[in-house]
Amino acid sequence: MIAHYFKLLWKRKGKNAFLFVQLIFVFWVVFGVFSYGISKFRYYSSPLGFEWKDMYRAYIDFDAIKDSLARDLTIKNLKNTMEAMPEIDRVAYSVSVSPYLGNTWGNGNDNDGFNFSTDYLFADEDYFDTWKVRLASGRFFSKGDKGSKYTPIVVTRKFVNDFLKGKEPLGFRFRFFGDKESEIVGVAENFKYQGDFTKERPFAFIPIHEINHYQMLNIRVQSGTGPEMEKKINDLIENALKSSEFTITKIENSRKSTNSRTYIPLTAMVFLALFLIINIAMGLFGILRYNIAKRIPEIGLRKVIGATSGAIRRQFTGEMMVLTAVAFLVAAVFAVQLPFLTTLPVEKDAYYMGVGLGSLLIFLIVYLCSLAPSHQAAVTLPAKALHEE
Amino acid sequence: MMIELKNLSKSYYTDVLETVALNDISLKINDGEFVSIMGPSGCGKSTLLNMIGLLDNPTAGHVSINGFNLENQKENDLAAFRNQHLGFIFQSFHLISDLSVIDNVELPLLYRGTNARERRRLSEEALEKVGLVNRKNHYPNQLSGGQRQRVAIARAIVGNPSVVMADEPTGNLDSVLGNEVMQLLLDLNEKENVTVVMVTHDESMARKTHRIIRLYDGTLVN
Amino acid sequence: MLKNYFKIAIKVLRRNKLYTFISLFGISFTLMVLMLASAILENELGNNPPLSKGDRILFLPSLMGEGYARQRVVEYDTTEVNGVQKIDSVVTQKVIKDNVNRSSSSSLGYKFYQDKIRKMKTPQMSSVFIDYAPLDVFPDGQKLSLNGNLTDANYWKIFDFRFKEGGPFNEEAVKNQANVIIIRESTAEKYFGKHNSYLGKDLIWGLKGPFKVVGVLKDVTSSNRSVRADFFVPITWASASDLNYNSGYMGSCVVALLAASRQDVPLMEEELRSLENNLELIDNFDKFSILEKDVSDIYAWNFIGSQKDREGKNFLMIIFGVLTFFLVIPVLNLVNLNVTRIFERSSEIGVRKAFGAKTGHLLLQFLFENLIITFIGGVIGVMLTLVFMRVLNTSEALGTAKLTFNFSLLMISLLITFVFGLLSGFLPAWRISQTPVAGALKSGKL
Repeated sequence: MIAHYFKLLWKRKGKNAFLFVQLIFVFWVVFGVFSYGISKFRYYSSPLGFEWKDMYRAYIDFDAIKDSLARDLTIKNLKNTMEAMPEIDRVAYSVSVSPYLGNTWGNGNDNDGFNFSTDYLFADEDYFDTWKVRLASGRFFSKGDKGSKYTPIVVTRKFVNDFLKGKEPLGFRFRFFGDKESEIVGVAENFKYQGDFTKERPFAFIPIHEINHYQMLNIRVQSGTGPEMEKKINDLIENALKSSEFTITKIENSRKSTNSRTYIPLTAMVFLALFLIINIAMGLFGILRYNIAKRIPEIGLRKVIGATSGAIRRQFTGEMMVLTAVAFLVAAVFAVQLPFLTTLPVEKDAYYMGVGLGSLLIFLIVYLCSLAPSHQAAVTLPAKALHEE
Repeated sequence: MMIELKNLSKSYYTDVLETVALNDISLKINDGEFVSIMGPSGCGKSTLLNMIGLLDNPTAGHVSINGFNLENQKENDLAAFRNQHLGFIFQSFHLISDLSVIDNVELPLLYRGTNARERRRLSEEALEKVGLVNRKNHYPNQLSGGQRQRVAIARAIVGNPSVVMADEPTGNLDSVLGNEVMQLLLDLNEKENVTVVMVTHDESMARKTHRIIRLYDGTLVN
Repeated sequence: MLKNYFKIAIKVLRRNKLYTFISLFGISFTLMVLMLASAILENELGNNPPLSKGDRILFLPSLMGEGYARQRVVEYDTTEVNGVQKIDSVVTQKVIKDNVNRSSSSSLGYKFYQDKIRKMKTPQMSSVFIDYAPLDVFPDGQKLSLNGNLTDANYWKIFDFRFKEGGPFNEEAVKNQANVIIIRESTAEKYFGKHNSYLGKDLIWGLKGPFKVVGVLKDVTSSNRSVRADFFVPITWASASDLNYNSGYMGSCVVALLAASRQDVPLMEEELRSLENNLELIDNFDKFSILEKDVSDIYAWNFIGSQKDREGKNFLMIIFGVLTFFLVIPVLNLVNLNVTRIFERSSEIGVRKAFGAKTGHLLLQFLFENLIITFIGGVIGVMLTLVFMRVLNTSEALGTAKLTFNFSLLMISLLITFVFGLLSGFLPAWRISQTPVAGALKSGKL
């Protein structure tokens, strides 16, 4: 197949061959950049499901306290002291999975015929208020759940859509891991914790008392508190822990660096694509102008015979559009087959949208580039044109 | 130096038709001769000159200049031969507008690998002969038509060729300037014993030469 | 001859300003992108301090333990005892080799280094360090997040850091858990404020107390995790749990092995293989692998691959592939412009040919012309590169990496410029040299 296309291309070599090949490459570049950009933009515009402003997290090595009783007491006291601070709104414990941190805990099985694969974290009952996670239905778990027969879990709507389509999620029981059954008590709207530019994955929240492994303190401070807050939190934890084995991160910074991993390459890509497009636009403009200048006698002749300015203009833009359309066809033949050949890093519909929008842009640019030289051709006076021969 | 054409034919092909430009031409031009080629427009004069000047390949037949056969020669060998033995003058001068007068004149020497000082000397000598040495640092667009053609003649003779091909050298000039240029060619022929082959429309110019070859529709008329 | 070509080239460029601008824009921008890419790669993979011996170093960032699946095999054996048939069953566990159902990987343990790696014969020298030790300090109430690297004394012999003042700490300081610290110049400036000298000043590390500055490092431009720390202290300050996890095989340590020469690097890899095959198996694992990486593998790991795979070479291939693809469009554009403009000069070509120019002459002339414009574009490209480097460095878009324009980059840039000029010039020049003379002379004016 590919050999066949090459034969076609080879046959068409000649005057416009380079322009043609170049157009094909530009089509491919814009297809790539547009689909990547569109897919990232769609991720970005999908809801996060939590609020990152005024949030801090402290990663604390409680295991350094060897005596388990003293450890439990420290964990409890630290939270109480924190909550007592007027600048602090809400505090919750969780394991070391956190928004914008980049790590994942995943679990999946098909015990009892229920097939699922989800990300999850353990957190205490204040986690939802602290991160302002919104509830779609049911309830979040609470202190009272401790010791209940089923592990109460909260899943996201994405989890329900992926694995419980058409079923009533609330009250659904399954074995998450181990033998103890879990019961879905609530459905949260969203939890896109891996970053603004990522795809939301199914998620489950499980009460932390099930494993008793406290690693992360999630802290929501009052809005309007300045950078001095970090020092206060630092002193407080250092005091409670009698050690400096912990790190505090402002979520805003974490978000910035996580997102920069997407928008820096995205900016670079857009920047490069823009350059390539400008480059080809100018090249096109130059070549057209030159070709038309060379064909001035022909234009004169056409005018003498009776072609109108409009007809001349249409002829030259038309020629360019036909060339572009053929290049588009060749580029599209490859592009359309691509999803069948490899797995794309973007969703199929984003890819096709990228192909569509990218092509439109190129056609528009070619059209614009051919306007000025064609106009120049159209307004040429026949006498002058013929004289130049 | 003798130029010899034997059964020379040249056809041009387009998609559908064959145009015969030259048909079975045999011709000898002797050393030191001044020959003019005449004929109506489109009769193949320029094509014939291109053949003699080794600028184009014949469809059939032989061209030889003093035993040097055109057939089976590599492009680069032809180039070297032209450079050593032939000089060209064109109707529309064909000076390179981006080069000064002297740079234009020294062009053939450039391809001969002559050193810079020698090139300067020979070019000035050639310009002296056409009376334009004072204009050597001007550019072609600062010169009149007659001056341009004289520069072109200087360029044609700078390499001391044995044959000069002139394609309507006076065609773009008025009669006064045309006569000047013609006189230069005659001098060249007489004083330096250079063979000159000239295509022209002008009967009066042609009459000044040793022999007139007339072409009609690609064949010789006697 | 070249002087003649040069004159013409400049004339042509000046006559057609629009085309010159289009060509220069494309050339300079393309070259800038290629130069920036080379600058980044040179910065990360070139043998620059502190990684001057980078091509002789193998990093051991992780150790992987794997457990194979097991099958219960029951064998029956009938014997006749006192006339009665008796069935004996023997239950054995059969290990299904290479069917990994359990794996765990982590950085190396300090004990593992001391007991196994340090005794290796092929490396000239080895060093152990913990390259992640976050520390938040509050010099004027504002938080400053620093990352520390806890190192042994050999570290300073393998990595040739440039000291602004002071020097490294020695074995003695490491053994005695001395309160000494080596700090990066920019970090010192942030922590202490701007001073001429920082030697002897104390940095307070939380409850561990004050550490005296004994060395100040010039800033490191590489983003390699093993050298990019803000400060360095003796490894003996690491907590016991960081040094070794449960078994002592695993911990938080990274090891760097230095080979005596580049040829010895494969020997080190071989010795690692034989070392892992002779390890006593613990924690029910059936196989341990030491996952070594060289400088390029470490860099590639930021983008592709995993702990297990060494992707340095693949990564470079991908980069070159992408850059080549990127190069295609501007080159085609330039070729296209050049080919179009040739017709403008067909009578010049005709004259040159009539007067004896050979194919080689014309090829040379037009290649040379193209090289001149490419070279001008290259100069503009270098200037653009310098501007963009500043932007990238100040915006920290590349993280901690800092780009610099040095001599080797200049050479690379020249080479790129030259190749670009040849690529984009050859085809048009070749076409020109093939133009038939007669036709060229007939058409067009000069």
